[in-house]
Amino acid sequence: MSTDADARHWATLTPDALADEIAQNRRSERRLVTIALVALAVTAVLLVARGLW
Amino acid sequence: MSGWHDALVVVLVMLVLVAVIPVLVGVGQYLLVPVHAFRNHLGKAAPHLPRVVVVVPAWNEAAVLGASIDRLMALEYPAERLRVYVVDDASTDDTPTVVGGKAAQYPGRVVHLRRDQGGQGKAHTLNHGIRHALADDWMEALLIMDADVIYRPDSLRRMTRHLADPDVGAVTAFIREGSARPGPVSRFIGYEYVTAQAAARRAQNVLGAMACLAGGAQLHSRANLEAVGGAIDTTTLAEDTFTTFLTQLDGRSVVFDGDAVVLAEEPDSVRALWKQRVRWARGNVQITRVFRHVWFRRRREHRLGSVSFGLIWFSVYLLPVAMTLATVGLVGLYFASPSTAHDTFQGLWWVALAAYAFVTTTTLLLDRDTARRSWFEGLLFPGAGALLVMLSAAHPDLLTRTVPGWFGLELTESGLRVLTLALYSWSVIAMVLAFLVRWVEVLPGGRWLSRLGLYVVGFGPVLCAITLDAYVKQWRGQAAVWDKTEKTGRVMG
Repeated sequence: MSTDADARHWATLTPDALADEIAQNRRSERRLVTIALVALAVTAVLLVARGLW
Repeated sequence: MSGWHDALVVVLVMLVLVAVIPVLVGVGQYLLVPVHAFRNHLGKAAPHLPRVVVVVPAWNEAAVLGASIDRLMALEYPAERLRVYVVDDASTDDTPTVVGGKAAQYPGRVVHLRRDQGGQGKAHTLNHGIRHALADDWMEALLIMDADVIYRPDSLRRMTRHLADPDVGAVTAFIREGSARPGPVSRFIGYEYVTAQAAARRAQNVLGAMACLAGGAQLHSRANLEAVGGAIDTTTLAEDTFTTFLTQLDGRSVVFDGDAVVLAEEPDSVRALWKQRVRWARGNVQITRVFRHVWFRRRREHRLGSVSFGLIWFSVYLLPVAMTLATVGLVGLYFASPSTAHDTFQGLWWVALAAYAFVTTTTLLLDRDTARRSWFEGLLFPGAGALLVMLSAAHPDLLTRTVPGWFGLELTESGLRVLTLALYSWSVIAMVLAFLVRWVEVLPGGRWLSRLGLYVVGFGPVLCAITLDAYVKQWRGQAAVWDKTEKTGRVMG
C-alpha cells in the first residue's frame, strides 16, 4: 500500500472515525420512519382506490 | 338444526380467521421497523477492534475460497488483529492448494486446518476450527462465515462495535443476495432476504429476541462462545438457530446490524433452493421441539418466551397449516352458507391486499440495491395467481362475467361453482402447484416453464410448500443429511 493509502486506511480505524461512523449509522436509521410513512400512504391509497373501483 | 348450522358457520369462519393471524403478525413486525429508528443497539455500540479469528468451513470450495480470503485480508481492520482459519473438511478438489497458496501469500494470517475424514456436516467442521481458536488466549471474538460470502471492507468493524457492550453475546450481519448475474430464483431470494433480515431482524432487535444468527456472518464474543460450551450444536440441522437460542437463554443479547452488509451467491434453481430450505425447515422443526420449554413462558433473563416472539416463530412455522385451514373454512362455508363465504372471502383478501401493499412498499424502500434488481419479483412475491384472486375478491364479476364476456362466453352453473371453489382454495392449490414447479424443472425444456410457474404460483407459496415437505420428511423420520448448496463463485462487488 502507498503512504496515502495507508493513511486513509488507518484513518478509518481511529476511535474518533469509528465513533463518527456509529453516529452516522444511527442517524441514517431515522429514514425508517419516512419509509413507514410512505408505505402507509401507498397502502391507504390502494385501499381507497379498491373501495372506490 | 339451525343452532348446529350456526355453530358450524362460526367454526368455519374461525378457521378462516386463523389464516389472518400470520398475516397480522407479519405486518406487526413491519410496524416495528420504524421503531428501530429510535430503539436500536447503536446507542450502546462503541469503537471496538478485538482480536478476531474467522472460521471458514470449506468442502470443495476452490471456486470461491480465494476471492473470499482476499476480501477478508482487505477488510478495514487492523491486520495484526485478524486471522483466518480455513477448516478444510477433507476436500477432494483444489481447496487445499488454494488455501495453501493464500497461507503463503498472507503468512501468519491464514491458517489451513485439514480434516482428513470429513462429511459430518458444517457444525462438526466449524467445531474443529473453534477448538483451535480456543486453544490459546489470542482470540477475543470469533467470526463464523461461509466460504462463498464476500465481506465489504467495513463489514467486520460494524459488527465488532456491538461487542463493546459486554451484555451482547453475538452479532449478525445483513447477508444480501449478491450473484453477479442473478436469475429469477436468486432475485426472489434477494427480495426475501430483505424481508427476513433487513426488516424482520430489525423488528427482533426492537423486541430484544432474535430468531437466528445468519449462518454466513455471525460474530461471537469469546465469553459467549465459552458460555455456550465452546462448540456449535451438532444434534440439529439448525446449528445457527440453536446457538442463537443458547446465547439468549444465558442472558446475553444477539444484535442485528443492517449496516454490516455481506454478499452471498444464492441458489438459482428451484431444486437447489428446495434442498437448502428443506434443511432449514427441518432444522426449525427440531428447534421447536428441543426448546419447547421456552415457548410462551416469560422469563426475566431473556425474551424468547414472550408472546410476541412466540407468535413470530409459530406464524412462520405453522403458515402452511394456517393456509390449509383457511381453505377448509372457505370451502366449508361455500356449502354451509354461501353468502357468509362470499363476505369472509372478500374480508380475507382486503386484509391480504393491505398487508401486501404495506410490506412490499416497505421492503422495496428498505434496500434500494435489491429493489433495483428484484422489484418485479417483489411485486410478484405472492404470485400472479394470488394477485388475480385479490382482484377477483374486489370485483366478483371480473372472472365470472367480464373476462368470459371478452370471448363471447358465459360460465355455466358448474363452471361458476368450480371457479369459485378454486378461488377459495387458491392458497392450497398454489402449494400443490409449487411441487409441480419443482418437478417440471428437470424435464427437457422444463427450466423456463418452471421459472414461469414460479411467477404464477409465487415465491411465498413455494416456501410454504417447502415447509410442508420438511414436516413430512421429519414426521417420516427420513435421514437428515447436511447437503451443501453448490456455488459458482460469481458474486458482484
